[in-house]
Amino acid sequence: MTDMTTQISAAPQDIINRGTLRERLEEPFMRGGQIGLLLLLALVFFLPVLGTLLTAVRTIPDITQNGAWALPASYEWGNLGRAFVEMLPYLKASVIITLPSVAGTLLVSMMAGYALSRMRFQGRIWMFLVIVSLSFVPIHTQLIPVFRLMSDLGLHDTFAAQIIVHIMRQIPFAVLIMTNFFNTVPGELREAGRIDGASEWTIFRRIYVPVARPALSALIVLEFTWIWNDLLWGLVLTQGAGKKPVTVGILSFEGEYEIAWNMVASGAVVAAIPTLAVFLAFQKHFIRGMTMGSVKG
Amino acid sequence: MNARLTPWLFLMPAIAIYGIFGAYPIFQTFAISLTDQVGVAEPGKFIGLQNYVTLIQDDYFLNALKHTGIWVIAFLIVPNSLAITIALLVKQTFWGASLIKTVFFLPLALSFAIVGVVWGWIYEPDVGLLDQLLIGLGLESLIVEWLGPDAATYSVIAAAAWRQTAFATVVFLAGLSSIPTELIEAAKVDGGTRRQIFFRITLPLLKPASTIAVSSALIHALLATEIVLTMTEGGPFGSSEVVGYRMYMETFWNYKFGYGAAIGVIVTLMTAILVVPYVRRMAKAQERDWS
Repeated sequence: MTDMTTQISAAPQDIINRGTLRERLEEPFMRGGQIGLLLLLALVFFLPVLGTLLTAVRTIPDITQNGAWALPASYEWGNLGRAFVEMLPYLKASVIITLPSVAGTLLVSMMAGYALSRMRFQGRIWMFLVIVSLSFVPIHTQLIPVFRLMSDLGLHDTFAAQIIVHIMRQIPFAVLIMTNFFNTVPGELREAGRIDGASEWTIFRRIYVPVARPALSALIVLEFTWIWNDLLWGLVLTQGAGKKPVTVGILSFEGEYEIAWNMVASGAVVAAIPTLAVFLAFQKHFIRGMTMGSVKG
Repeated sequence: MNARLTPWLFLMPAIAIYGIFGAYPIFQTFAISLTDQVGVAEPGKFIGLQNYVTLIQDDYFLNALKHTGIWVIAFLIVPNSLAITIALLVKQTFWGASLIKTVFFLPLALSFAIVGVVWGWIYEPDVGLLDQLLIGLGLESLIVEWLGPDAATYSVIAAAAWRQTAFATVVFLAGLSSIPTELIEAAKVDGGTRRQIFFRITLPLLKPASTIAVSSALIHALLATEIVLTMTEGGPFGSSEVVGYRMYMETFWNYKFGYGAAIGVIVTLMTAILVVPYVRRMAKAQERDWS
């Protein structure tokens, strides 16, 4: 189909070399081979997800008798329900940690990005470089003193400690994204606001924040995923079960069920659903955010 | 508002939060690494570079360092070459493009905790997904003890590479999309063969994307803490230990805060060396934008 349409529309441009004779003869085979290879890679790539979904809704005897890849003898949706009920406290904790962290990150980094991008001041490029460099700082250089500081502040095993730390960790990347975005906004907007006598804060809030919506949606999706998926801070800064995020929850869940793989898989599915749903719903924003100049992921 | 003060007022919240909870700790880690602190209760006494001297004679650390080296090499090659292949195939075939892309991007939404748990089930002896798959394909002879002492490091790398490939595919696809089609067409008009076009045009123009993909692979390989923690806890017998995980263990398991801090410093220095080219590129781009 595509071949025919390109041939028709390409008729006046026949001068274009469409490859050597050999290349042209090979074309259909190449295409077939490429599609085949792509499908094979996609299948291999998808197997872990497929296998987990299959395992989650089966019984253990079914798995041991019919093998891990057989279709379920019966669909045990109850596994997922049970996993959900057990994971609920962890899911709740993750929501309480993640949402304020995302909001805080956005607010703080929008302001900083606006200043870096739109204002001329001494030390600006220097400041920008520091922020870019900080986005590479490994968690390992901060774990110990932050752990100590939070204990000293009496914030160990609280949501507040985790929220503050997530905002801190996300600032460099988020400021980078916001700065780069505000760089693309025409400067006349600000000039117009100034002529009207608006203060810097008003210009920022009334003009630049609304304009930033595309960058913000990308940033929200990414930050939500990254903060939700964090494991190390959740381990280090918590003690009891009540304050632990779902990433820690899935590990204790695994420890509890050990070789009951259907339950472990159900737990993994339940724990993955929030970020998976966000990803599937906002894939475009997610990808745009990733390509706005990051090495994270 | 004072015009000179305004920018700093806007920057203040970010600077304050990062300063107190991010930057100050970085300096503290350096300081703690020069002490013999155990636990958080009281500060240790100053012992100079003793922790670092001990480190280079510590067999556990050297073993972890060796595995981190394997991680770096494997991560440079495997996810990036896979991703470039996938990106080219997706770009050229357009076959079910958006669904196929979703399949390849999906692992990005998953935490290392979940990747670790799921791949643990994949590697489970006999009943696990991989052994079952190989048995189904009549390839029993290939089965090894995936998370046993000989293969554990490579198996954990494979699991992490699954996720890293997703990231690199995103980056390379974006890189390919930024190459103007006219350029490729023009090369065809001039009689360029497919191979020439790939090596002379496509590949050089993918350089910015490659910088990102390579830096990201290096950083993830150097740290690799969460996935090791969830899949093997460094075992069996330290056969899958990595430097980042060692730091976590020494600190929060053995409570040797000073010693753990020293490992943290080394990890940070290794990262710093690797990201210099990337930061330089960003700085150049920014100066262009602002001039």
